[in-house]
Amino acid sequence: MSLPTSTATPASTSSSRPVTPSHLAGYRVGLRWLFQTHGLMFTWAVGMLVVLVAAATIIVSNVTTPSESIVQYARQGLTWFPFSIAIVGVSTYTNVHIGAGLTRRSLGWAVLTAAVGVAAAYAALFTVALQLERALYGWTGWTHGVDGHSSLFTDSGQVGLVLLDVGLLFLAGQLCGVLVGIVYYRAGGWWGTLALPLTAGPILLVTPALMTSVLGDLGLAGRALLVLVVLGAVSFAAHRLVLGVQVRKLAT
Amino acid sequence: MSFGVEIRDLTVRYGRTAALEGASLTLAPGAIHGLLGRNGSGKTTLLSVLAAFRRPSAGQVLVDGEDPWENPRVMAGTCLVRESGDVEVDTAMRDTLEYLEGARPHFDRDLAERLMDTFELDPRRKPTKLSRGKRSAFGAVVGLATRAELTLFDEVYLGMDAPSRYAFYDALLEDYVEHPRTIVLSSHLIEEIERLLEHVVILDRGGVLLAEDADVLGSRGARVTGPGPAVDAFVAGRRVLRREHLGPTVQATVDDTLDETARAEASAAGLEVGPVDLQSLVVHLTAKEPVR
Amino acid sequence: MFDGRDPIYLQIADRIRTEILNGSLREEEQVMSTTQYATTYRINPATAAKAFAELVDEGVLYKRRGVGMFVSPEAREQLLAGRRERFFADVLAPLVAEARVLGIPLAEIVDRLRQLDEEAATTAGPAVGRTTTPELVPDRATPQDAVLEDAPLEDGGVR
Repeated sequence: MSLPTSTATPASTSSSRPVTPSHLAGYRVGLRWLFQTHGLMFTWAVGMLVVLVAAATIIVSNVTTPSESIVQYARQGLTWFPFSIAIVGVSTYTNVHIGAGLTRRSLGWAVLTAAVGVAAAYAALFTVALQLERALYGWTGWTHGVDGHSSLFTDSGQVGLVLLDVGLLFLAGQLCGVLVGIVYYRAGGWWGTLALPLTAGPILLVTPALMTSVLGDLGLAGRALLVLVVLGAVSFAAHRLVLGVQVRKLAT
Repeated sequence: MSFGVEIRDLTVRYGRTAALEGASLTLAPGAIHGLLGRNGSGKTTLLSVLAAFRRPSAGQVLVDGEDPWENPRVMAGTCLVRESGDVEVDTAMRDTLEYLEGARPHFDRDLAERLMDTFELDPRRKPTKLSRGKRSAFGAVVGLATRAELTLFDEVYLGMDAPSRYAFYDALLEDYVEHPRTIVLSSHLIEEIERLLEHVVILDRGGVLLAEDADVLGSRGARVTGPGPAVDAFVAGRRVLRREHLGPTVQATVDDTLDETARAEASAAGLEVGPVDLQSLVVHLTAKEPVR
Repeated sequence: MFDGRDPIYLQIADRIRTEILNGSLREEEQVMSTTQYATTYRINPATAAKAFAELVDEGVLYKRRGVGMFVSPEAREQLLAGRRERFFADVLAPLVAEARVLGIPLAEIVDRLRQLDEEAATTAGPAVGRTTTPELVPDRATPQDAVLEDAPLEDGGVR
């Protein structure tokens, strides 16, 4: 049905970037959104970490001579904070992404990539903070002790092990966050909550695997492998659930 | 640059209830279509399937000749605006426009800015802080500026006040004549949009009740008024949608396109024949209890 | 501006025909584009296009490629001829039928028509006569004997 309008031009604009629709283009758009959202929160996390650790260090050093790292206790906070952002991110962004005409496949890969990227950023943050603190302790002559039973590293000087330990832990937090988010989105509040043992549970499975005291017999490689298997399963489940997601009705 | 739509035996179930059952429909590319029907007739579900928001339970859906589900090209060329739109509600509208500029192939930022002005929307504000009408207006901005080959408006104009609605119709027509594309307007408020439409689809209880050119539909149906017996004699054998008494006078609405002969016959019997507007026709055709 | 009776494209076509007949659209003058029509009157451009296509088919309008639609040089003549033809069927036939019902002799009708025609010729057009010169009103109603028959004849004739 063509209209006899002499002014008719193709529905395209001369301005800006030509976006050629593809899964890859959608992946880039999704990743950009997720990194922007997480990035903003990451700067908050950095700020909070600096303030809290500094405050705690000042208080402790006034009462007694510090004999262990304070940064190491940020391991939990830096797991659960980005975990909650991942939940909110997935459950709010799904509508936006598909509503903007982008595919689920691009969304699925974008959330997994973002999970890895975010986990890496927080792991780097933790490691840098721990090393700076170690340097400070060395300068003041305090003992930089760490709880060797709850993590892969037994000494704060083991930078590689520190990175691996919190990297795997934070990745578990991110992937579980994605899983929790997509299950809440698909199944709603009730089922989302009931499914939490399955969706958030894997973090609690990863935690003992990283503890020397619980699965020490497996050896480092064995425990790392176990964690990777768990994370692989979580990733697979999250990805599958994103691929089949139906956009929810509006609650009006 | 316009997508046509082909639907065959489409069924969509939510749990045990079927929102659409065996619906078949063709929408020509480049036209403005009206999707009419009562609440719960399946309008939103149909649009959701076209936009690949939902997957059909059974049947076939082709948009521009291809299944839209997970199809990057078709999805990028289809834009469904549901009431206030699927945008981030807790982010400044300016950021949403920027996001869409990166996500949508034909998004026109200049048009978006102009429309924001028209609807008096402050780009620095967040949709959550707006009234329902203003949120709907933002949905209209998104839908028009996206310039999708298949643009679907699901009752966007519901919350908008009359001046905004007319501003929306004007903007829609103006942009449509310059950038022809397939547009579907769903509504149960028919009068206002009737003249914008080239083709009308009426859904009823999950099925396609009728799909016709607006001109044809405009001449469908007649209101026959006169003395009771004469009216009854005339409408015998025709499908009566509604019958009303005004004392001895009876008015019957028939679902029939009266030709010259029928009109002459009616006027010979002393009956007055008038047209039925689309709104009444739809109301009568989709009434809960069909009148004898 | 449109009523619900006829399809809108027919009403648009009629409106343009009337504009040509009353001289507000002249021969060789460009008419509004379908686009302008659609946006001005808030109607679907295809509806406007349909009206224009009908007028092109009739030869009332013609298309200049890339420029737009124009009134044909013979459009007015053609429309007048068409209306004249229809005048007998649409106006005179029912008038005669009604006159027969009322028993008004044909001669009386013809006399009255002549009289009306003379009046129309002396007053400089209906608009002037009706609005600005009240002194012409008694003049129009002078024939005392005609007053009684006035109503039925006009009633039947005008319809």
